[in-house]
Amino acid sequence: MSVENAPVVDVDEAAIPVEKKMYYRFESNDKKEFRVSELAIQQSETLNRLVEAMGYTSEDVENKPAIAIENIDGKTLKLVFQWCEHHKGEAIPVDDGSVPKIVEIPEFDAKLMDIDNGLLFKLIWAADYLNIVQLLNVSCKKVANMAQGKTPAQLRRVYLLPSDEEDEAAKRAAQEAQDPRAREVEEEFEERKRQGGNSFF
Amino acid sequence: MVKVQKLPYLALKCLISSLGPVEKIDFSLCSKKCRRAVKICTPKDSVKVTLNFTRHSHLTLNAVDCDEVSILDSDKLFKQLHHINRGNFNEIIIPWADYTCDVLNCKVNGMVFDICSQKTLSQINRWLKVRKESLQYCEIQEDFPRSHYVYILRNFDIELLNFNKNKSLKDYEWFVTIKKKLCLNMRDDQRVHLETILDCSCPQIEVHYGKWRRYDVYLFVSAWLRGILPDLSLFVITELDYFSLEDILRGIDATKLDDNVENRYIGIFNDNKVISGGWDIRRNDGEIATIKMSSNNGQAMFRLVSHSLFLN
Repeated sequence: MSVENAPVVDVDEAAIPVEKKMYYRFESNDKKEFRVSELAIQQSETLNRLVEAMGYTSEDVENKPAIAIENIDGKTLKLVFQWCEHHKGEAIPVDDGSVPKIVEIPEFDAKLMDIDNGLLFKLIWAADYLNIVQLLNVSCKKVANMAQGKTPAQLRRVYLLPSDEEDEAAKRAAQEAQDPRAREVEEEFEERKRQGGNSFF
Repeated sequence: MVKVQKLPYLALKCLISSLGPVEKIDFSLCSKKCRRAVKICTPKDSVKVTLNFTRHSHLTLNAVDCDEVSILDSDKLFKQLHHINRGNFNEIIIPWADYTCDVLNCKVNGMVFDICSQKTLSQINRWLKVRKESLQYCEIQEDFPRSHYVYILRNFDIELLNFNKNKSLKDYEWFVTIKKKLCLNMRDDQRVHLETILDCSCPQIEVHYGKWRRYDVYLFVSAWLRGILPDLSLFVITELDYFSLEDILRGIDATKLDDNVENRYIGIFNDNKVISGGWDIRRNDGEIATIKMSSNNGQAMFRLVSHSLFLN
């Protein structure tokens, strides 16, 4: 029988079982709760593996406590899940090793990341922690764009980069904090050197 | 302000990978830690560095995966290496290139010479020897003196030499005394004699403004067939008066190719080229090459491409 001659059957759309979308519940470290679709979660390798391992049913999702994400606050997590919902179903990019990394920031992402630098830092940190490849790419690209046309001195200010001297001082302070006797030993050593001793021992 | 150094490793790597070559250098200058981070996060040979010895010497950085060329200008070099004499741009460019190659994990790709003292040339020579590097590309600009480029040819290890309308280049006869297997691109106003080409041992030669006559091309093809140019696999000469190759191939065993026969090869500048149709000729040692005369805007171009260069 040809396709043209096939009988037409009216289909009652309501009778077709519709696959119910599952929404997982997550809780930030400041106890803010978020409902995120299953498809959006696939953008995060970490969360995707976590929910797969948990094997929750729709009932479990509603009845069991929200999944806690200890390291991320509510403000940041909101941005992360907004991004995941907007980009749900999109393919996760594979690093082709091109240098420099070719990343375009879509309009939605640009608006989402129109935030203060402190929050942007937290967003990058969260994207890294939750392994959301494309969010990490775009957020890092935004920070990389800040470097354009800047001198090293300006870059130090923008990226809060300590100078070598500041790094050294911080290292010394950390060592001293670990071992309070280190400073005394160092002072004793300097004193003996001044007195003309060749060897500390 | 973003606390970049507090970022986890993968995020920092992603950030540094998104920086262009110039930004990477600026970032590396912030501290020793930053320098180390750039070095770790930059894949080997992902950037091509070219030293330009001109009135305002500078470095050009070209990311391999991107057509964009970035310039590290002299003013920036002076600001960073302020202890060096401000008056001499050429002195600063070698330490600067050394630093750049070290931080970006890459080799020196090429040099462009327009103005450069003999002293600097000696420094470059020593520097290249210390780095154990050859130059993929060397360009001689119009004002560069003859004694200097002869020094370069005798001392530097170069793969492709490009003469760009050099005024002191009266002839190429001296060139044949330097028996080097390099690719030669001559973009000059002087006529390149057939005898010069016949004495060359270069594997690839491109001559722009050749002004050869039909008889020169005939002699060249005959010489290639007799095995006088055993190393030559690519020869291109432009700005000829067009003529049909059939005229010079009488008595020579040559096979005409249909115009729809396309063969791809890599050109002298590592670019993709296609030769369609033409004639196949066979040298006495069995080597086959396609020769073709093509015309564009009234100017003709003759090509000989050895089948050993074909990609398909």
